[in-house]
Amino acid sequence: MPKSYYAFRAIIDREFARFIQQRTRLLSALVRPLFWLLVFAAGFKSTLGIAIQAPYATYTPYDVYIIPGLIGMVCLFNGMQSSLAMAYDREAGSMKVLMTAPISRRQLLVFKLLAAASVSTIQAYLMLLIALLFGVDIPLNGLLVALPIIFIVAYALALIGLLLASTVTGMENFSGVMNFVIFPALFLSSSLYPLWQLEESSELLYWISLSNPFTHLVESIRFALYLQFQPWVLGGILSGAVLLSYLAPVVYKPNA
Amino acid sequence: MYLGIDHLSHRYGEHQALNDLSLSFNAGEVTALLGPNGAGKSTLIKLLAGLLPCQQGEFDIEGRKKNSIEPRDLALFGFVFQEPALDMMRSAKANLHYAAGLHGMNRKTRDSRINWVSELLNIQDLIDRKPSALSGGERRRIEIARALLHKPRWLLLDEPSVGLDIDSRLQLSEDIHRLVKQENIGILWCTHITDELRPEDKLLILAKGEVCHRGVCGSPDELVQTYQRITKPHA
Repeated sequence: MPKSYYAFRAIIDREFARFIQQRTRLLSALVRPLFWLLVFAAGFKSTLGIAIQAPYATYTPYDVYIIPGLIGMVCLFNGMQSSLAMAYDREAGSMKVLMTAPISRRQLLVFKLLAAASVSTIQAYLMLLIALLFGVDIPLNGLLVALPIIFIVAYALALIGLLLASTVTGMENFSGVMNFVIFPALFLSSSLYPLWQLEESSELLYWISLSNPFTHLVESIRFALYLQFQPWVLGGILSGAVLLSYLAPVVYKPNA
Repeated sequence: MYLGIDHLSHRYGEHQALNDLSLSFNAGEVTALLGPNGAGKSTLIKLLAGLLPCQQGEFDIEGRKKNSIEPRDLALFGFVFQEPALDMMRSAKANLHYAAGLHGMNRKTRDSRINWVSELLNIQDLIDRKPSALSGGERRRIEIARALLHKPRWLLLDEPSVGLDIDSRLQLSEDIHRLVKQENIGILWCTHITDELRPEDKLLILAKGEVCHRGVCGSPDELVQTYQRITKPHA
């Protein structure tokens, strides 16, 4: 096995050990979307049904509609959480242990992102399992087909988090930026309501939401869950992820 | 084995941290790097760790001249930084496994290296505990163990004894000097604390990014006198 394989194993083992040890992190990662699903969506289920629109073939109950958005929410929060952990590691000095390993910085950062994406994907599936147990109608074959898409989305969001961690110095600043990223990304997207409904209220908000990358990440999950694919969107996400992964070591300052 | 630095300069904006610095270090000896705050000691370590890009000058690593430290060069170095950098939620052993994995070791090699380094530094009783249950000095010994796992030729220490009590500092000093004899490792030791050095250790005093004295440490009293005499004009 190449040396980089053992480095990857070390990084992913550490990420999972942290994930298991930080029970409150897991709990909050699940409580947040489940609160939306089991409280908010339950309350609005009868009034906020969604008319037929792709990829759905019929009228869609609201709790079914928001599932892809909630998966995106899990990945978004975990991506930001992992970048927050990187900012913390950098401030605490432990990032230097990683950055002084005899492996290219690009590889190390990609390994770190793959580890974060794996944790996000597991969290997303735990959330889906609970949703299924509560009777939300999710196509089971779609769960399998959507797995690689959810992983790519989780990777892309962890990557965005990493780039944020690269440009922001100081923990206080970083938590501020998280609020400026997470909430606009979530609310100005199709994760909680379809864009055409937003367009009826405000054309400006519609265009902002349409240009929000998070919208397209959520839509790619939505389509994959119903065994449909948007090749251009997926291609865009993949090329963006590859390009940004390539740029990550250029912008990431381990010593900032 | 030889490590050289030729005409190295580094700036942070307007501040000149290192100015045309040329140094050389040999294996099997401790080189103490002394200097007031802001003298450029940590900058030098960060440049050798590849954490800062080299702006000017070059490195000579055992005859190979290069103007940047590449990832594969890092296998030759072990680092202990000023800020303790252990994962407090995992045992010391898990911390060692993590570092060994980053250096590309498989499970079998990791286990044997951890046993080796535990015996070398006499930390067998410590490694199953979490760093939060260890004293500052014990944590530093774990960090030195971590830096030695991949058997580096050079150990670079950036003020590792800051905040430690006298006993812990003396233990640390003893460990480091023993390593030099047993493993023929070269040590570059940035410090402010003169009593942890030995008379035969090589001495470099930095001030404002330049070397202003080269010699040997001598007795603690001599070292303090030399340090004050050299750094006073630069204060």
